[in-house]
Amino acid sequence: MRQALTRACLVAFAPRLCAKDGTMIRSLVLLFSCCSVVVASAQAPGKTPTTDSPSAVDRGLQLARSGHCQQALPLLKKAVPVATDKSLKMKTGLAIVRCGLVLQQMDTVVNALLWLNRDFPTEPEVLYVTTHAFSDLATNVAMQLARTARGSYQAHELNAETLETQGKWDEATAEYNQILKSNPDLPGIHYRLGRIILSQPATPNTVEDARKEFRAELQIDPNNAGAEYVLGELARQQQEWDEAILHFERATQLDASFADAFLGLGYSLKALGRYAEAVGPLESAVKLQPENPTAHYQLSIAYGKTGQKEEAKREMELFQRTSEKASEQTNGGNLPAKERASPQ
Amino acid sequence: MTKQMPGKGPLRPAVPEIRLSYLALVFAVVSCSLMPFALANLPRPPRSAGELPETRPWFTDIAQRSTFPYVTSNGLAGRKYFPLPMCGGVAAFDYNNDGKVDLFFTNGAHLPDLKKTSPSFHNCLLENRGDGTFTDVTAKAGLSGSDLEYSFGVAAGDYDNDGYEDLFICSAGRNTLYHNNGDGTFSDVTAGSGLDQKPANLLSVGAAWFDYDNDGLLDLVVSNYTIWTPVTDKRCAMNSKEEFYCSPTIYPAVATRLYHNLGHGRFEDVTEHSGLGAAPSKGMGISIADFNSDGLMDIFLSDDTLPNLLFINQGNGTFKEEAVARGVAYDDTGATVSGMGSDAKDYDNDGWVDLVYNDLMSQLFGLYRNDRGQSFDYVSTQTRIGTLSRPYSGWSLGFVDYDNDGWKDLFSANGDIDDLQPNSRQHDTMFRNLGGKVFSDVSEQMGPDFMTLGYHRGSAFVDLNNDGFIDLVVTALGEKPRFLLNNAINQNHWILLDLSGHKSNHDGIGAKITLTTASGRHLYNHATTSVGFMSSSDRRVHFGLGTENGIDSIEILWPSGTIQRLEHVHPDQILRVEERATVFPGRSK
Repeated sequence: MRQALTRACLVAFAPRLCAKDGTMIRSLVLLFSCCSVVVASAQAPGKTPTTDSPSAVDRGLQLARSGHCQQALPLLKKAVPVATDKSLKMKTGLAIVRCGLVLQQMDTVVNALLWLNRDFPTEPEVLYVTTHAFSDLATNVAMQLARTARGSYQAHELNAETLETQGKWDEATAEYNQILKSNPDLPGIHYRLGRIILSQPATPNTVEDARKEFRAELQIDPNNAGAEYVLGELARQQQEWDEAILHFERATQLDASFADAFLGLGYSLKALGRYAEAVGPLESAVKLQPENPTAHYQLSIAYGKTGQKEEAKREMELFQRTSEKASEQTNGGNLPAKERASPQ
Repeated sequence: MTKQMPGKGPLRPAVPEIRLSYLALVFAVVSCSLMPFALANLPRPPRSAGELPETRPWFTDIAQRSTFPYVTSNGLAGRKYFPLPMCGGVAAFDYNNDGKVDLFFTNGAHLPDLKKTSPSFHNCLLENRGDGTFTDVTAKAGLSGSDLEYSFGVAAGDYDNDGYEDLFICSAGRNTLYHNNGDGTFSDVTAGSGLDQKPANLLSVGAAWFDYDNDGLLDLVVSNYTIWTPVTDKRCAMNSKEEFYCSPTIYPAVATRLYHNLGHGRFEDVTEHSGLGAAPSKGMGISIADFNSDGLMDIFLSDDTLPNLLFINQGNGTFKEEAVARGVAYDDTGATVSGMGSDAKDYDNDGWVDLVYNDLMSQLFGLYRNDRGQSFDYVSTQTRIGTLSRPYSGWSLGFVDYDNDGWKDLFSANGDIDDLQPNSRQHDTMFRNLGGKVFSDVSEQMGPDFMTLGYHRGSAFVDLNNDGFIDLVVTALGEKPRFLLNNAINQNHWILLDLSGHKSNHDGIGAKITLTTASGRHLYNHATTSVGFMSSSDRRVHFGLGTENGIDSIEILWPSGTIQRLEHVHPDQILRVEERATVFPGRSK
């Protein structure tokens, strides 16, 4: 019941509150209040803990269920290291998380979530509770930020990012520009402004406007591999291959684990017919993302063009294997969402 | 033997050395053929560029000048049965050999019984009168197909080499072979031909005539989509209310079928023996070409949601499927798309046949450049075809040099599969080929008739008025077809080759032509009628020559292996070429 209420609160109330009040921080305050009420409802007065439990852990669970988290937590924490029954251990962990949230004991919550996800990585209930626990934790921290540093650039940044996720591009842009007024050299802000430009419906100026922001970002932070990558991608889409190669190369130099940058670099070299040069970056992409079908496909073509037939064949087989796997995972492959509906 | 039929300008012999010996015959042919080209009522643009208003459209729809009942009717009446988005095949062929290319349209059927229950579902043959109007001769020709089921594609070809183009109709039910009797009538000769052998409930959507074993008889390859009946039709709906067309992924893949022409109206199903049966697909467009220049015709099949197929002819009656190895199975991310129509032509004039297919909006049309017969490079991004095509759901398409500048442009008949999006009704597109490097969208310049919105499906490329500028015929669901006459608003030169095989198949399908202009520019094309989706185009081979008014040579490599060379040919004519070997002094055979 509590889960249902919490979910209803998060799913149903949050968007409306956010839309109504305009900023995420205010929304989070309300959301937190809402969810706190839900959680606190488990602690309604008049309910007393059961005392005839056969063991300490059962007693702890009963106390937690009846909202007596203060008494329940020590019993539950003691029970975990000695628990042998997996199901009971999981129930205990989940109860610790819930009580930790009620009592706002963040370290207790985080520790429990860590071992729960380690020991039960595919258990739906664990994943569900983890999702909401982190959400509640984030809410709590956002509240703290709002309370203690409402005018800070971090508060504005958090607010702007939230507006971004809601697709409120103009409001998010205004927030970011507000930050730049007081902190013109703050890294990451021009990057986000560029990202907003690219997220909106394209206009004739989209590419150039976005490029300006990413270049401005690199003026402030020359080590921003993401900005280099996006500039490379924009150049690639415009078939400006030399510029694309330049940016992708810088991105890979700045971040040796940037698989997409290696892929972009290999793709651009391939487009120019520089197949031998494309092999190296594409091999890196495959190493970094062995389950990426596109990387295997590109590498297979590059191998084939450089006469490495066996390698090309191997990569094509890997492409087909990873492609099938990805298709299975997405349950419908390349189909539009509407086409994934089950036939009747 | 070579005959010439000038579209305009003086009659000139194409090959000086045969001028005298064939002069009488040439004159006779021309005498019979000149009249049809006096198409006085068709718009003839002024030839001086200075006289042209800038807003003059490239294409004008002249269909409304004729009276005919045909409307593309897929039978949609509530329930969205799976195959209904596919309807409206078109064939451009000269059924009565009067030099004017006629038009044939396929049509749908009533559902769920799949019968042509009323004349609104009848197929249609329109005779080109040569004055910009067409006469409905369906009944006289016996081509209404009233006894057929839901018809999809059509392929025109002279399978018995009697000099008259025959028709093959692809259907949800039995496929049909119509023999052209040469007297304006056709006979259904399917029964006992071997083409009546088809798995039950197989949706055959397209076909192509070609001579895979170069024995002089046209064989037939049939593109099949899936196994389906109205009874087994799946219903797809959002919130159990609003129906939409189901994805083909829920239906099984099936084999492309190959029929070997045994002569005397008999065909043998060689699907399994040839190797085609080992590669199931959801086949759509079929393109026929010799992709590796080994003298044998290969088959490309665009595929809906599965990898495309490329059957390489091994020369011993079998084919090897090599789409993955040659780089045309997937797009450049390794993804499959909803492949629809396809075409195979040399768009960059490098002497190697390239490939294109179209697909649904948000996907990119796939353009593949042939890398010297070894493999293909995906060049949709580099050529801008990707960016240009993203907003469109294409069906039939094809390379067509609409402005005769010597570069084959790309036409696509567009319209979404369903009617659920604000932009479901779409206009067709013309992407102009800029020097074989990149394409630009010139659709709006094609004029308001070209820009008509609809659910466009089949298309044929044909010179309806024999002026050397290729016209377009396009069908659309629920509407009359458009006959988009090319207004020829520049002075570029051209030539149309009307091939007549003797040792090779009569249509010359598969013949490869290299044209060298007076300035030394090389242009390439080959004879095929299978272009786009569900459709069959003018079999004559077209070349735009740009501003060059001289042709140094035309070399034809016939399917029989015969090499024929014509020298110092005048442009701006329809040149009939009878297959005949050219003796090359000093050159070994």
